[in-house]
Amino acid sequence: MTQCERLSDRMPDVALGRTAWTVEEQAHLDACDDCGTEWALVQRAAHLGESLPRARDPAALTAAVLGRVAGERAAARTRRRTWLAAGLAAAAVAVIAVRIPRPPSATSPAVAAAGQAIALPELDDLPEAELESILGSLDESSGISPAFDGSGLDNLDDHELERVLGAWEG
Amino acid sequence: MSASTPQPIADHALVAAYRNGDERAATELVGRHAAAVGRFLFSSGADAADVDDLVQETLFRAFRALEGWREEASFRSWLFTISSNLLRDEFRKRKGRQMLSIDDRDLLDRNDPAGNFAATEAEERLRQGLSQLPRLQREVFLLRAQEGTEYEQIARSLGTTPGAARVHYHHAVKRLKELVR
Repeated sequence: MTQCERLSDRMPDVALGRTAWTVEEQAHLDACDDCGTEWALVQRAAHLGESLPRARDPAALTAAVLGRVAGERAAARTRRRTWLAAGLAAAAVAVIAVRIPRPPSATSPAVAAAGQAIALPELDDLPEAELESILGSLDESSGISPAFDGSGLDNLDDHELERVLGAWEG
Repeated sequence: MSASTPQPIADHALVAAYRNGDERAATELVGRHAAAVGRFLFSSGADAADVDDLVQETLFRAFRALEGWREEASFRSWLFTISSNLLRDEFRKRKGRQMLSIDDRDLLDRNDPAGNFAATEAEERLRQGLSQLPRLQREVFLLRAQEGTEYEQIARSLGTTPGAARVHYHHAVKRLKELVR
């Protein structure tokens, strides 16, 4: 390490008054322009800002700082509570929505199935006259009024009765 | 038997006491470090008129995030790092507006206007020069020159190596010699 480097390392401590130059070091500083310039720079930097007005009273400054910290923590707690309340409200709405029974919609599976045509392949081979007869009996049965009490069936013989029941059952 | 001088309570003990609810420990920490933080901010280019507010903001950020202090770095150099971040944020907010002001001459001692004017001119040149340094060079230089902090300690504070801190210091000195001529 050169004398210049040694002095450079010691400059802050000397500038801050923690130690002093030896006679030999002082002689080097006086002779070496580079070290002299650096020494002036470090001295100036060491005392830079000392002309600033004194800082505020520590107790008042601490009270202001801790007051802000407490205020921010309180605000954060309030935010957390607000979010928690909003979350709970949303959860409650979801639970209520799930538990209330809803009327069946128009597109429920039962309705959809009722709307579909029923395939009856056994009718396909019937002659037209027979088909007409069956359809006619179906029309008759579907035309039964709500007031129909079935008393008219008493006059039918067994064969006719079988035919009517067979038509109803399809 | 002579009475021994009581040793000052270490910063980490004061931080622990504050965490346990002792606000006097916080006042002690503020009393120890506020003025040094103010000088660091002023030396780094803050307007003298803004220093008080910036010191308060630095301390607010520090006490809000005390768990962020790694005790291997000194409390003061941790505060300097926060100050430096704050100053960078402020500078960005002002979008590069010149932060150094000739109005800082208001700080002169009016009993010796001629002598102080020369001193302030020199101070202003130095502040201008410091404000033009890369951040690490400026921080290392100020930690060395204003606090006498050793390179090992600077390295721990700034997350670098002692060798790199020494290099930053010498680069800062070289650049300042050119800028502050």
